[in-house]
Amino acid sequence: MRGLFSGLLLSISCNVVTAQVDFGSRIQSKVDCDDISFTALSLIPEFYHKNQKDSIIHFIRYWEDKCDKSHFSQEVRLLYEIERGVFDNKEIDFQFFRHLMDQIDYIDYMVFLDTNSQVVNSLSGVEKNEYYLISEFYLFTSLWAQEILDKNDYPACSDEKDILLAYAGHVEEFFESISNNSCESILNGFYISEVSRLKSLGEVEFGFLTGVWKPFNNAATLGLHPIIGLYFGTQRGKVLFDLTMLLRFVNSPSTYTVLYEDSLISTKYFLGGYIGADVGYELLRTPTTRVYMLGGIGYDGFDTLESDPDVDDEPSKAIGSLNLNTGIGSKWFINESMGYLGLEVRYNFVNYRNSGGTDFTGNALSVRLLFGILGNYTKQTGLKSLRYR
Amino acid sequence: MMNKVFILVPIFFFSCSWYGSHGRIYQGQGVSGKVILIIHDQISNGFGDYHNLLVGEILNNLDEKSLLNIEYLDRQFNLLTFKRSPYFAEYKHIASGYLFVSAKSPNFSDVDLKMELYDSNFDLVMTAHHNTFWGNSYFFPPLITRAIQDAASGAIKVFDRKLAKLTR
Repeated sequence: MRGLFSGLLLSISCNVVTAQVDFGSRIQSKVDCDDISFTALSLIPEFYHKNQKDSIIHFIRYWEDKCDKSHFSQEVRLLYEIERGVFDNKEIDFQFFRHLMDQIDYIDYMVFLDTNSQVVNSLSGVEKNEYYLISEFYLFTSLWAQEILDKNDYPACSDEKDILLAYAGHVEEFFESISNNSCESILNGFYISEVSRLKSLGEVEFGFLTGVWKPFNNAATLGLHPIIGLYFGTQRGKVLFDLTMLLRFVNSPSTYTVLYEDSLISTKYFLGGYIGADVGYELLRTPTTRVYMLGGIGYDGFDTLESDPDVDDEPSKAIGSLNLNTGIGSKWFINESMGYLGLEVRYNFVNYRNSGGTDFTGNALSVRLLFGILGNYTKQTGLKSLRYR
Repeated sequence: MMNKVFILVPIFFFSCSWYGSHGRIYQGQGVSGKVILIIHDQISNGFGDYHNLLVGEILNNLDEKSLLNIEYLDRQFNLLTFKRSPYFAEYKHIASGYLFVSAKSPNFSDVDLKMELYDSNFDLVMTAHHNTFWGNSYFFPPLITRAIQDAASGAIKVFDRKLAKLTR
């Protein structure tokens, strides 16, 4: 009887143990990282308001242990460490700098949502809940950061102060501090490196142009011609390099002669063009304007006789020359975007040789009106997010 | 005409391959002793599996060739920021040199990896550079994982060659 009783007891105990293990694993399988993160976002501010800051750090450790580091957990841990005076500058590296930049992006996004209620209204129920939860969490961390800033008198150029400024949402003040070159802080070093990396990125350019071309001296016989064309290229540092193709049209106002197969032909026909490499050196830059000194080299020529390409043996004659040009130009960017309007004035050194026909010696002036895009999206948005002017 | 093509084509390919993988020695004196390796990853900003892959590839390749007495500092700095960090004070007494590796990928397909070896006074000793766009031939744009592996092995090959020249 005693044996039976012992066996029964053992069996019940085993079942209880098994049941506990099952219960535990069931609980574990139901609690995932999202649950922990959501709980953290609402529970941590509660701990803060109840002044249970040790509970905060215990929860953060649990959170990071279960779900690995997240932006939010790192933010809270850092605030806790800075408040306690146990923050170690060794934590600041490029990854940390990126974390602070993400913080600024979050703040910008929150400000955008706060000022654009229609975007918030278009969110689904779950998204809206997430937004409210995260925005309350940011309010809590910014209040906490501000409280630490108020309680302590951090020296200028201290990394702790800069971190707190970012967390408290003082974005302009934060960038003013880390971009101050007299501060040799680690964050300032990363700021300088990031700005110089972004500034070194090349920019791509393409666009259309129109304008007029006016030859002088004997070449003035050819008259003034409108031009249209396109160009594409790149700018690296201060040097702009473009490939340009343009077309000049409209017949000449006065008749000129060309020698074709031993006979002189009088014509007014004119269809010209230019294909070449243009370079520019940036002399001046403001956020909306760039001024360039320009130069270019290319082939310049025009057809003197109208010929049907489908008909064989039609008379055709082209006169060409090397074109070396120099001038000045400016680009005005529209609303600090990549799109611009430009104006260029170039003096073209040409030498059209029309043996036996009208003398075309003389150079030409061209005025180009440009409609184009010049920029690099990564560079532009990167520098903008760093508040670099 | 064909003669010109025969001359120009190899010159073109040689230029591409030089641009894709090259190095330079800046001073005749090498580095003996502990070299601190610092990787600045601008591919994934030091986050996630790509960073781990990059670090692993660099360490494996350096280890395979038994190049230098390397100690890896698992923090991301460039020269300027490292000198401002508390690690500098910690390492300056034990380090004979610093090896800064920076990797970037403008299109998240090709990788540009640069290695810069400095002596303890931060004078540049030598550089090695590998760009997978110019230095490797792929039938299709490579996966970033493949490009990371190729960039690391390519740069370390150049580094090895230059280091051998330096110590000769």
